[in-house]
Amino acid sequence: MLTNNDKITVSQTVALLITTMLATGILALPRHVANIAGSDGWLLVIFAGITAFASSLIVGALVKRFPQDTFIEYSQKVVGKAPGFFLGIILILYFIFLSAMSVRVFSEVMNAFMLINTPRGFIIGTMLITSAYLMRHGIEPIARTGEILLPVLVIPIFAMYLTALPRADFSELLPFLDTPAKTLAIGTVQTAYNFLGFEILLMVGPYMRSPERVMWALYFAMGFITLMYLFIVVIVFASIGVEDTRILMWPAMSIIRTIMAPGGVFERLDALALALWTIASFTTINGMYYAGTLAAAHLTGAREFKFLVTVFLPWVYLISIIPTNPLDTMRWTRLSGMAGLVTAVIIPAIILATSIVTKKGGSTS
Amino acid sequence: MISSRRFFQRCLLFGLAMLAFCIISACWDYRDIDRRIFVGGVGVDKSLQGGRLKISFLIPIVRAIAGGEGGGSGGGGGSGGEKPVIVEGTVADTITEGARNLALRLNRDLFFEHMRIVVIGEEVARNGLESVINPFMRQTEFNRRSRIAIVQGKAENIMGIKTIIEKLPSSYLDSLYGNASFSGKFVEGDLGDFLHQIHSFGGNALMSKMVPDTNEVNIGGGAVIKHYKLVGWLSEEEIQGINFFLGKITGGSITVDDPRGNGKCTFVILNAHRKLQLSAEEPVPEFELKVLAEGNISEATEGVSIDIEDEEIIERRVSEKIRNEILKGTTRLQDDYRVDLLRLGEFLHKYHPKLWKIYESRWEDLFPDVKISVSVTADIKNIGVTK
Repeated sequence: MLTNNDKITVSQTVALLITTMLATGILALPRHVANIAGSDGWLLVIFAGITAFASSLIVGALVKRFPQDTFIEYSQKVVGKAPGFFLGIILILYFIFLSAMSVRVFSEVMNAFMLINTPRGFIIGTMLITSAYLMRHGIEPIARTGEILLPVLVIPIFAMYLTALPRADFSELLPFLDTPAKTLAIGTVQTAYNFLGFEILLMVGPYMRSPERVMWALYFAMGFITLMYLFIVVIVFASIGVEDTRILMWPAMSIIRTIMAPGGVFERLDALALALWTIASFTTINGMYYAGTLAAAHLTGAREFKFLVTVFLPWVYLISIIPTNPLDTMRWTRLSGMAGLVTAVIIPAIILATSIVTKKGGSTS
Repeated sequence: MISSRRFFQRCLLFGLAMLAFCIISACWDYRDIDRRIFVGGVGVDKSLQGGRLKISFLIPIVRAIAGGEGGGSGGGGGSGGEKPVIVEGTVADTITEGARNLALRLNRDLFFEHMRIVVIGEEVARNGLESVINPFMRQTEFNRRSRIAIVQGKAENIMGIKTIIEKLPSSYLDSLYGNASFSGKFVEGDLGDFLHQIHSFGGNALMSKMVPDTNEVNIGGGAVIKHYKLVGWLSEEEIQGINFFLGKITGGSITVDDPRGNGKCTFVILNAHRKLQLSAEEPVPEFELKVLAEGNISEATEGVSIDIEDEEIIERRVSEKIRNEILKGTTRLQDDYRVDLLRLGEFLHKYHPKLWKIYESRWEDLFPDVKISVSVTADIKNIGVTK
């Protein structure tokens, strides 16, 4: 059933997962957790990471059970043709919607910090065209791009936020565990959507050279992302305080502007930061958008997925310009969180449960 | 089939190349650097027309600063001719509107990325700061590293000073803050610190105070902001005491009578540590502050040589003096201004969250009654090269 013989290695899978999960939404994450749990916000990141990891195991189990098929095929095998087809359509819509939202959030950040007068459509358009260009070459170049960009992305991000340490006041993380357990529990679910991206494995799974090692890739990718998010949230809290974090639209970006490392060498890191976040959202869009077109190709049985990239391009664009302003974008991204809960957790869980009960897939098939 | 696809690919490639040309060559946000004015400082005053603001922008003239060095001709004489800065004032309701007003008079665009200082006039501060500080948070062009201060009198007067040591008043004002290692008698901080305080403590903040003169500015003392409004000033000694209390002392000096009683003796602070503890919870919280100040004896008039016994006496006197300063600062805040700039509420919130929940709602009424006991230890590290 594979339309493309390209295969990706485990390390490429890890890179693909990390770069897909690491999106511009992280810039708003500190505000999000500060609003829910105040100084306990950083705990939410850990809990959400664990929750997301647990749900990603469901996806991982599906990949292991059906190492030769994508979600489109095994959902039809498990729940029957028509319902499977329907689930496939949901998956495609979801990926399209998520790519639209991540490119939109990217354009919001660009508009807020650097390209103030540049029309939003232009930022979104150029980004999507670049992505589409890469995507036409298939999974292997995308994963390889992720592999190359990962160190370029991650090391400077860590280094950049480390320069905020001299003015960090870690007592801002206190009081510890002052939030009611119920708030923490609800907050965890609300925060978990920042970890979305692992569900591309639903489509990418069979393209792995060794699908049996998918769990290892998940451990590594999810652990890494959780640590990275935790690091950024803690640094933001410690350097500008919880109360300020609550009102800043993109706190993780704003603190870059307060950073002044000793000697004034790294006084202005804005440009570097925006370049890094451009890479981060580029890779996110690649992952999501590609998974969407791949799903469509499998669903329609098309021999080529390339033309679908072009077909989807205007739709992603049109969805991404629906929100009228940044506040509206916030509301829409929350919606994408809920969509993620359904598509990345509930549907795979149902499929997995049904396949176990009906003994389909895995060693029994 | 194949050739048409190749044709399509070529077209796409050509299109992308064209697009790249468009993106690389220019963009919507492109501005020539010589079309820009780098605003060095912003001053906000109350205007004579009721309710409006008079905003002054401190604008360095790049030509006058760089002139002479580049050409080589004229030398020292040339630099005297041109003023290095101009101050442009305008009346407007908001700061952004003021900046736009200037577009009618200045041919270049105002650019705030390199702004070093914001000064706010006393009258404006007494009426409330909310309206003034908002643009500095909302717009990304203002950076949170610039300094902010309240001026005794009018902010215009600060903008208009003719600095002697530095060419630019803005860099002079900014670097004044760098003297925290020489003196603890002013409030060190930037816009980011100020916004942090304002948001964390419900509109209360300790801000820098500036007093203008013709050629200089005095930054000693501090301004007390309560509920976004200026309520009064703190003297230099009180500020030094509060800085000790907050653990923000990185330098400064304390002068006491020397042990023989006929001269003075100066203790230069190298660093200071503090430890704050809650000693009682009921009926009002009681706090215990321990300060350890380390420093050198840099001067003793009267020409006495310092013995080991003298050293102890000096240490005792220095710690007594520091203690007095701290108490002066705390009583002023507790009795006169009744505003918790000692961050005791924050301390309770962070380290005793359960207790804070009880007191939070009536903290403002409770704060003046809070008991604070202070003990100071001074430690002489070095006495110089005379005995």
